[in-house]
Amino acid sequence: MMEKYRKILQKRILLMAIAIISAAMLLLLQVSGFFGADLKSDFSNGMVSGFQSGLLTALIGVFTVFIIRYRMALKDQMKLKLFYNQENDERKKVIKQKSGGNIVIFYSVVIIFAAIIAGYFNTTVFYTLIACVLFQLSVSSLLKFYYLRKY
Amino acid sequence: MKTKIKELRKKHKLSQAELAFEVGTTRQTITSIECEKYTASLVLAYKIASHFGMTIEEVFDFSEVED
Repeated sequence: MMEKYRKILQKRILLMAIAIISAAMLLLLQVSGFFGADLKSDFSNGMVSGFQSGLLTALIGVFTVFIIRYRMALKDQMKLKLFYNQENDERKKVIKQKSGGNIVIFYSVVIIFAAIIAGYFNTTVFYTLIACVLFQLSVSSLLKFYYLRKY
Repeated sequence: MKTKIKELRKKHKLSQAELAFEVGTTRQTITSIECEKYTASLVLAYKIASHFGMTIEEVFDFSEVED
C-alpha cells in the first residue's frame, strides 16, 4: 500500500513541476508585456495584472514547498506513513466531504484560472469570477470550521 | 459512543499519537473518538480493537446505539 502511495507522490511531484514551469512561463510573458502594454494603463488593470502575478508567484511558492515536503517524505519511511495517515484519515475525509471538500477546491482552481485568462480581456468578468471563488471558499471554510468543532 | 480506548492506551502505555500511527489515523481522530465526538468506522474500530488484541464489542460500547 505504501508503495502505491509512493508512486502517487512521485506523480504529484511531476504534475506540480509542470504547473510551476507553466506558471513561471506565464509570469515571464506577463512581465515582458506580451499581453499588451495598455494592461497597466489604469488602476483597475494594474490591480488585475498585479493579482495575476501575485497568484502565479504564490502558486509557484506553494507548489515548491509541497515538492520539498513530498521529496522529504519519500526519503523517510516514517514521514511517508505519517503523510499517508494524514491524507487518509477518515475523520478528515468526513469533514472534507461535508464542507464541500474536493469539489469546491476543484471549482475554485478552475474559476481562478478562468479569471486569470479573462483578466487579460475584461476586468468585470475577472472581478465577478474572483468574487465567486471567494464566496464559495468562505462558505466551505465556515462549514469546515463547524464540522471540525462538531467531530 | 463510549469506548475503552483511553484505558487500554494507558494500560499499554501508548500515547494517542502512537496509537494513531499504528492504526493508520491521526491523533485528532483518536482524541475525538475518546471524547465521544466522533464514531469510528467499522474498519477503524476493527483496527483499534485488533491492535489491543480484543474484539470490537469489547472496546466499543454499543449499548446506547439506537435501533
